[in-house]
Amino acid sequence: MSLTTKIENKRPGYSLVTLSGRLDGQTFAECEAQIAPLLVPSTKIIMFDMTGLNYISSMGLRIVLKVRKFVEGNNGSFHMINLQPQIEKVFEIANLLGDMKLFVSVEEADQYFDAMQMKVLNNEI
Amino acid sequence: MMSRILAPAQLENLEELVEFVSHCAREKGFEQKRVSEIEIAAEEAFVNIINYAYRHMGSAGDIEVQCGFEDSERFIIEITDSGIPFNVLNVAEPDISSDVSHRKIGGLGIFFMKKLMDEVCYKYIEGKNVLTLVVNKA
Repeated sequence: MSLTTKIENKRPGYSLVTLSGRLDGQTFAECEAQIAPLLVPSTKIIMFDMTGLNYISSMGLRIVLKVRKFVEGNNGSFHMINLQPQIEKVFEIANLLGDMKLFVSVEEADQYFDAMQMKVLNNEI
Repeated sequence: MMSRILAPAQLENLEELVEFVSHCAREKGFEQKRVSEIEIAAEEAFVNIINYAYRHMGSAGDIEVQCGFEDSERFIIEITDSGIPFNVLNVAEPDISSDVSHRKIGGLGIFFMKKLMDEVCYKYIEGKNVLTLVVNKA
């Protein structure tokens, strides 16, 4: 039982965090330490790829909530892709899915962000 | 027939404790989806004990777990510690209706336990907290 956290800088201000394994009371501390450097004002988009995550407890959920609060408080946006059903259920119980944009793939998210960026550049937002 | 495990209430034993419970649930025929939920509920109970039960003492005490079917319908996970009396049933539910910016980061563990289990019971007997998680047979 373990967790792998991979962090990729997709473009300036946009980081992709890929979690695989179990995010629980034992693995959350290291994950939190790895993610901490992303919580800076220049970070505007954080995406969690949950495809390989098969378990999350409240300790794991704290990290996701903390990251989301930071990014949204920084006028950025927080997203998740591919939650397995048991993971989605935990987020549902905590009522944390309602207003979040969920993507099915990194590609779909990239297209969305490209479109967003065009709008920003064209002063549409 | 109940299975039993006893371990010091320390984070390094969390994996072994959770694995004990999920192995027992799997062996008794629960499908993987329900096993995951049982694991989460048990983990929340263990983490609470590890973090708080023995904090007032110099050294950590133990967590004892017994699992099995109490009768033909109810699978129970009985978790015992001899730490500070703590009735999880008295803990107020977190506010999950406020928007994310106003959410508190913690406080979801006990809530998950109650939501995922069919029943949660608590007794304080002979200086011990006895928490029982009940899962109805599918």
